[in-house]
Amino acid sequence: MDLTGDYRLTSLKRVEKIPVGIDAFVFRLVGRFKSRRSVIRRILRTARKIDSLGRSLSEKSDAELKGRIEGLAVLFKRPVDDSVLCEAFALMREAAFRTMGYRPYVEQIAGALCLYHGYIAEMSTGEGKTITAAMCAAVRGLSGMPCHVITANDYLASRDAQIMKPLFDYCGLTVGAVTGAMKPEERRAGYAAAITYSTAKEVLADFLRDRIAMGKMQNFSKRLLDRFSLQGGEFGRGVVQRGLCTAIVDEADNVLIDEAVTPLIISRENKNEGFNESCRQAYELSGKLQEGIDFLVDGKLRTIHFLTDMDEWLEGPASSGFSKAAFLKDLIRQALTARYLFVAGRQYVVEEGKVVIVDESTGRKMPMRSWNGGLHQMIELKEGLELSGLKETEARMSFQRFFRLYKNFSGMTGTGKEALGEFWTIYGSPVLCVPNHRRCLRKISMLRIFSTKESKRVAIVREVMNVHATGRPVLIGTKDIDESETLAEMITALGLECRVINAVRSDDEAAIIERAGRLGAITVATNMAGRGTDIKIPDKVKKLGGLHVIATECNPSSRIDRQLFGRAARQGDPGSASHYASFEDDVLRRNLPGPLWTLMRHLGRLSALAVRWAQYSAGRKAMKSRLSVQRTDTWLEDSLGFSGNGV
Amino acid sequence: MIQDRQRKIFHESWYRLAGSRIALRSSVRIHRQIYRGVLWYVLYEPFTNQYFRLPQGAYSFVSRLSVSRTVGEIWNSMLESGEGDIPGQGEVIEMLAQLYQANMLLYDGVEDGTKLFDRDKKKTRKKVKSTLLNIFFLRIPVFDPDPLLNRLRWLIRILLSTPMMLVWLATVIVAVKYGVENFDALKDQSAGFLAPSNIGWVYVCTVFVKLFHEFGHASVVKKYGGEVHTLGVMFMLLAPLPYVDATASWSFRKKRHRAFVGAAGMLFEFFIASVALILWANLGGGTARALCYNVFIICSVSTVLFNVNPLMRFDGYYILTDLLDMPNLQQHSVRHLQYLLERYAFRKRDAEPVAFRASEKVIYTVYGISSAVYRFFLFAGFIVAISAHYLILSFVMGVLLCLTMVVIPVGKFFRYVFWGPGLSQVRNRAAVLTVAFFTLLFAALFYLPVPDTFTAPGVLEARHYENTIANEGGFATRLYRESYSAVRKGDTLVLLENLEIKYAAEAKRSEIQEARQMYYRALNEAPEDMHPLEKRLSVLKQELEELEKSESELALVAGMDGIWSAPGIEDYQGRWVGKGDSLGILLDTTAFDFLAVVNQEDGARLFTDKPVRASVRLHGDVFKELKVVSAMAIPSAQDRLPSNALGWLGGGEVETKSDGYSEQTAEPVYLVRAEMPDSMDVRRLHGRTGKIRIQLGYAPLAVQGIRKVRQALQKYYKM
Repeated sequence: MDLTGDYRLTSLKRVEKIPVGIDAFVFRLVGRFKSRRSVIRRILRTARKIDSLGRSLSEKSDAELKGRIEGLAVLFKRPVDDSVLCEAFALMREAAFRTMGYRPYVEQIAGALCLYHGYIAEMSTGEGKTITAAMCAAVRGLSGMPCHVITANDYLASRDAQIMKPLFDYCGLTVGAVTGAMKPEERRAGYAAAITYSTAKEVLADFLRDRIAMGKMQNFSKRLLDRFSLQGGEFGRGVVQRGLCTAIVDEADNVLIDEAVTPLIISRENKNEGFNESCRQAYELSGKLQEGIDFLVDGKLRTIHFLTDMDEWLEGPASSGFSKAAFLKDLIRQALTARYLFVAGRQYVVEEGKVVIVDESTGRKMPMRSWNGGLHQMIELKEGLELSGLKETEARMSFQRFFRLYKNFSGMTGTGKEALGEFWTIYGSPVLCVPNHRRCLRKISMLRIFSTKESKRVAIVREVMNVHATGRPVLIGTKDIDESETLAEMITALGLECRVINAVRSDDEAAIIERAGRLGAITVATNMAGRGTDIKIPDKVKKLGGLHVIATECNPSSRIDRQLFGRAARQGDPGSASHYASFEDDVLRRNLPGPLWTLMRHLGRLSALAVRWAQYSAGRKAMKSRLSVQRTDTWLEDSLGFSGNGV
Repeated sequence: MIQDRQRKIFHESWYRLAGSRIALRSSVRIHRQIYRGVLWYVLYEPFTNQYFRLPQGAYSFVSRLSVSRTVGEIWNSMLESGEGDIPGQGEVIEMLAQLYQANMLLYDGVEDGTKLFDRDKKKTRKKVKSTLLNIFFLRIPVFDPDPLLNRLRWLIRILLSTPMMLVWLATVIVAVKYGVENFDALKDQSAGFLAPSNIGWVYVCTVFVKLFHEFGHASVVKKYGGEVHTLGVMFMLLAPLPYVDATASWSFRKKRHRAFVGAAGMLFEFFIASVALILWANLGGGTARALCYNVFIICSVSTVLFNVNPLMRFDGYYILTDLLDMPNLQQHSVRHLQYLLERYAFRKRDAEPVAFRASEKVIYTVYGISSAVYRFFLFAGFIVAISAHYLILSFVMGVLLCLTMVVIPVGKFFRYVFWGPGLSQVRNRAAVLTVAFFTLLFAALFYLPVPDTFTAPGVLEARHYENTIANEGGFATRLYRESYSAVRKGDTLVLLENLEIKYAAEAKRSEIQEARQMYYRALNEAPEDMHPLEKRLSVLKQELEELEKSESELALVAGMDGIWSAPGIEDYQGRWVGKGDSLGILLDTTAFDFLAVVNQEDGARLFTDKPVRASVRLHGDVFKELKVVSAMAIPSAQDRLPSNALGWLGGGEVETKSDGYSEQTAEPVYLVRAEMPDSMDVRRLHGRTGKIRIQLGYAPLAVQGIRKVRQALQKYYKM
């Protein structure tokens, strides 16, 4: 590795503190100003200029174009002015045409420009975000600095890298993909490419693993000394990345907001018999406690409150080590949490003798993850499985914090306006709405709200039958695994064929999703299944009215609802969506105050307001928790500065 | 409800520390201290003069820190060996973070320079903020007195020696003797203490006294091996005074040493005060005497109001905390009150208790409430006191007081209730309770009618009284009655003797005799002379009659039933009483009136609203409330007081100006005559002063308050 590369490896953007109080208010106003309409209008104007510039390039020979791109690469080593940028994008557009066979629209160029300038571009689903990202990545890639394109999942990362390879090849750029199953050498190769496609999880995990590998050598000066000292040169073997420079995040709202606070943890499992023994003891003891007498289960806050004086109660059984009274109490709390607040199939599933966590909001399985503080062990005890070892965290970082370390940061999303404030305050990126190329033909029917889940399901199944009778394909989005299974059963019971995608059955996800647009197909999927994959519909279906999407449950955020609706009527196709909710849905139950919940239930048509209310309050809660994570991060950063272990 | 605090074993950020090698800086000194039977360790960093107190469990961890082992290794080994009260990972992180913030850690790693600067900036900002919040006790460090104190070691040694203690004791005893002997004189001179002409001297004396006071603290700290690095200026209630930073005493192991440091200031001050008092008592007069007086008063007032009083955070507070073994008493009290609120009002289950023993709970509760109340009243009283002399200043201070003691705390409280993370679990309850409480409070203030009353000074008068006036001059030969004795109409009170009248009457009588003889002679010899002689005789008889009347008036006779109030009448025995002199008053004790002086603001209302009820309390008998039968305002403004005792010159509260002979009120006043009941169980003395409390219907408190403020504005600012 050369010195520059070595320097870049750990040179990160200094993370600015998030303003609070009145500063925060003013800062948000600045964000609004930066997201104003005229900005996107100006960008569109530039895009049109690039468009006309691009047309003049169409007569040029390949060799000439390649030569000009190569010439640009030199210019991009330092900051460029607008004309050079325009030329670069015009060339990319022409390159895209010659390699991919179609000319990116003005809107796509505008999107790419937004990305280049560090905005979050809101582009509707099916507006060709892949090519937009690729054009920007190619221009960024010219500088030779690492450029990461973050996609929603592994499949998309490798697919997009594959599809866009010709374009990058044409520009003389290398492209790589990093996916979950790869080995370190493959990863290194992936990151070594000018443009790397990967997922947020992989990039962050590699980043953290690199940091662990670097150990004390995270400091450039130390590395420099090490390099020139006698025993030097050992460093850098395990490191796979080249540093953080540019990130282009697809599905930015999901990565940067919904999942932003779930920290990624690199941990090492080590068997700790003492701890496991204490866990067993605590689990056993927890069985002796009675709900309502010894403790209370708080479903709303998802915690356990003790009603008896545990310290006294534990005086007998407590001993040393982890079984000290103070620690045992904590473990018993975890045991009770596992017993009363965690349900198989909802928060986790058991697979091959292992507890696998399920993401509640997406219904996706998350193998490799585990709960900490003994909760995982308790759930294993509950399910009668063999105890896994104690996970010791080696490195940990939230996506939120991670993405703030990139020097050039931009993202794309289908639904960004709702989170404008947060994108700006946390990531410093204003959100711009790129207009659609083609008019959207999606019809969304009114929200229908039922008082019980059962009545809602019946109505859904009726609608599925009605739509199916016309031959239109139906996609049913559910929130969790159970719900998807129940609905699928109900539909099959009527003699209709339906396919299910959820955390338990996710093997041929992409294939099912691709076929979901066929004539008469019925697909039940948990919310995020097959994200990023287009559901292509044949012409026949188009004539019938396109894909019909049913959202069966209201989500904590209206953004997620909109994402689901976005599956229908893509790229100017026809399509429709309908929306169901019931008062027994988690979102409503958890976010509405009790009396209001009862009241709203009897309001008839007005009860739809309850959903808005619940979503608003859920959104606020989530934002608050994200901010508190941020604050804790900052506190740790300030307070543990001496540990030398922070990033 | 049972305590349900969460204590976590693991912490997700443990990894950041687990591999670090950290130790306490070698300069950190550790002192073992026992507070209320519990062992604590105080870490002291002399470079930055910072302290950090650790309980035993935490200390057993901190004491194991060393650069040869990682934090994770230490924790694990402690866990395995099972010794001591091992802190959870989260607690370790928090503790080390605090130690790091206090710059007490030595660590192996590169410090991010920007962070150091950030921290410094934050600290400075925090300091500025707390200074502004504590504007009444603003402290500005000026110089480091330690070298000077080192040079003065010999002096300190002498001052804090046993012989010096005996001298101190002797001086104080002598001073006490003088003080008791001259108590009245001391009291009398106090009136002029705050007069504008004296105020400059008062300030000079205060600085002088306080320098000694602070030197006292500093020298005891030095005696026990501490260091004193800050001498500065404290703007106590905006008046700049010296202070020293005696925090070094916190590391003293013996609590009586710590208490001694706290008390030393006052002990030095006592000495100064004693010397001043002795000088004052023995000096004839002049500036020196006045200065001694100032010094003495400053010492005593500041000692009582501030220093010895533990409710303010001055010496008394620190002595108390040392004696009780409760450091941070004030903060803990506040936290304890907060805990009580959280736990019992908001029902937060995992509220963190501060006090564990019953005695602690009581002390924290009592101290927390009383110190807040005391402080508020001290400031409010101070502002009211100076408002009489320095209005604008008091207004500014009132605004500041309102900001620092009302607006900011209430604002903080609201933020804590509605947005604070601590209450997230019980937010609804807390918010509802708070809103309900404040709504009720405001409703009560604005809508709950309470008796609308005012008080006015006045004087007790017998409804009927007459002066016993000597109609004729004479020497008092005999006193028939003593003062304050009951007399009946016609009783002779004093007998006067006037020889002149007696002789004149005698002469007159002789003349009459002569005239009568001449008349008889004329009857025989010259009947023509009879007529003029007859005339002369009648004239003489008339003259004699007059003389005899005067003679009879030499006996002072009670004109009505009642009590003869003639203090000091004994002294008249054998003395001359001039004609027209008053010899006491004869009071009709069957009926008394209370004559009250009402200012214009309240007087005006007396004529619009009829008094609902009124009661009188007499000075000296304040616990006896005397119901008034009826009260009537006399509808014309006056500028004479019914008794001089009510005016300023007589020690009363009505502002008066003297116009040479008598007093005149500064503003017109109204008189209210209240008829007192026939029987009262207090001594009814004519001229006894007291206060009348008149209730004019009912009005909410806030309405009354607003009216008062508007009246004050009208009065002082003509608004």
